Amino acid sequence: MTESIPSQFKENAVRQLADEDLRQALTKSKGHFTGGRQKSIDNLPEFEELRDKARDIKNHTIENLDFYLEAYEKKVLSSGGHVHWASTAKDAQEIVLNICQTVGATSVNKGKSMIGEECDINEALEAAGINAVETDLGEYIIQIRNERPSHIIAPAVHLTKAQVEESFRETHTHLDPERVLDEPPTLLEEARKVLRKKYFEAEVGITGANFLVAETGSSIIVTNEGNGDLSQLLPRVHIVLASIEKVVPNLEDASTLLRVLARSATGQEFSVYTTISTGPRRDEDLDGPEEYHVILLDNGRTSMLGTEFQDMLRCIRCGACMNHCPVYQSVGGHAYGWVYPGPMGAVLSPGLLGVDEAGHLPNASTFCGRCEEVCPVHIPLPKMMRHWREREFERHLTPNAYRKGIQLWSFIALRPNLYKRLTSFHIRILGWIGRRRGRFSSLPMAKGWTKYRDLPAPEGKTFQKQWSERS
Amino acid sequence: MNNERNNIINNIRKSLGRAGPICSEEAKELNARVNKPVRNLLPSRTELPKNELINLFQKMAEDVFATVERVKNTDEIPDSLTDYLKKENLPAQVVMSPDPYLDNTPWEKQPLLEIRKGIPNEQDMVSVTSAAGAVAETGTLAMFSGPSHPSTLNFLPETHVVVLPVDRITKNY
Ligand code: SF4
Repeated sequence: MTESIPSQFKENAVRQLADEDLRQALTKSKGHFTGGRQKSIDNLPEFEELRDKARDIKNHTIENLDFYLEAYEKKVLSSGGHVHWASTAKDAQEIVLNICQTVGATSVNKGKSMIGEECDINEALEAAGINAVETDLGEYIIQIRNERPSHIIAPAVHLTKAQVEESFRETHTHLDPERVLDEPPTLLEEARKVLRKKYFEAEVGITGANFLVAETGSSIIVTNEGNGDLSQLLPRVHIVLASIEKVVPNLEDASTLLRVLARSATGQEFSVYTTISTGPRRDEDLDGPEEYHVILLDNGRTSMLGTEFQDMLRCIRCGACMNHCPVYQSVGGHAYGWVYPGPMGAVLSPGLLGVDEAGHLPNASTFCGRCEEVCPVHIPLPKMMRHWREREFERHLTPNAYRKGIQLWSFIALRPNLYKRLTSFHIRILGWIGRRRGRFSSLPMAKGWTKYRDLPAPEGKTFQKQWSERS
Repeated sequence: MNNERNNIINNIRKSLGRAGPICSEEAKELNARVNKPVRNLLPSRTELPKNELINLFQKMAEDVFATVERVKNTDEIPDSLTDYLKKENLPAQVVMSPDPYLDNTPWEKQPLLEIRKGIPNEQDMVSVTSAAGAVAETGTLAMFSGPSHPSTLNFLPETHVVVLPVDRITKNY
């Protein structure tokens, strides 16, 4: 696997910025997502009001999370399902392996699941000699390329068509090497054919859940390919991997969240398939799994409750924040080095992995605020990134030069007279030196900027000066 | 495992600043929310007379590349299905849900149409089912799993033909 880790965000980002394929792939996908979202919202006058409701539903559920989880558990049990609780990713792995081994599974189908990624379920299964097959097209592509997803809803968004074609040719060696494979439909068709065979081989199907419903004890998944749906229908055992904050009180609440989810994610009015599963097959059913297991994962979430990061637990994983983030759109998802990229990852990853490991990610923001503007559940992402920066600073995890610089700046900024004198002095000096070219191609102490672009030379007076002259 | 459960529940309570479970007064309210959900805000685009609701359903479904064909009564269904299969170059061979609505359709009008009732297998290319409901808001079909409608019929065959009595179209989901 091309490993990058969150603590190396800077190095990862530099590498990704130079990747031409990535640039091409991201440029192509961006307009599709942002334009689609805007169009679907323009078609729904109630969207803003629904967003507020969605936020309120999530807040209410989180404030009463223990109650709703217990109510949900009761319903799952009464419909013949099993509920397992996992404090850590390792616990979840063990529960999955245990179930697989009990039923003698040699092959497992996977629907797309971010919790599966968070728990490295595929690696755990492979290590136990169990074959794990991703059935979502994007997940399948990155699985055969041995990569991590670079986006929470479009895992292979960082790849070009040509790269996918190359991987298919390398992997599907049983097919005619002369076949034409250069258009998305032909790629999709080939993946379908290959995956179809596997559906029938697996004894266990693992999916995530977009929502868990306390009213009915159901898990809900939304897909566009019908792959996750088959993964949970065909094998003898269905395992749902979900984090504890996925629970909602009732189906009405789930409906409101669904109304903002697809629109924010892909710009669809509704996902192609929304499947609600409740328990295993009943005696009279002709198909469906014989066993239904839900694994409820904590993995650090309970310690975000009651803190300034609690709001992050509202996230419904739509991906809008990364689709609209200028930093994500430049460096791509892999630079973030873990499961969750973009603004939501910059807030969530330090919460789940710890600030030592991922405290660098919240620095990857220009604070332009687009993420918060588009978030369907109004998560104040920039504010929370700032909180993480403060924590990183408090814990002396920021580089020394940065700390000294900030300290010096705050010393000056707190003394208005000194600030005024220094800035007007500097502006005159810089303006004078750069007066001929109007810009600098290198400046001492500003290499981080001038290495990639010129710094414009200041013209005229400082902002404060101009302001005082106006008023 | 019970331990894990208690740990997680206790951690939630601790983090939320509560010593134990939610007090019984509040729990009553929460229980009501779980068991007697009230309708939430619904998009007003469906405030239409019945006939236009059908049109809206059709438009929304066609926008996401479904094809829709209207027939007057069940008598017309067999011809409509075989015409479609011919047009799409599909075999006159379908796997069908054993549901009462389809059982009462006069399939004998198309004697060449091969029908198997039950669950699909890997080779089946076309499934035919009815839908328990449909949502005009988004052009979505609603199906309930059960002995008369195995869910694999919705997902496995590449082509899914759905018979939808128009009185099952509702406004919102
Ligand atoms: S933080 Fe908001 S915008 Fe980002 S994925 Fe979560 S819900 Fe979507």
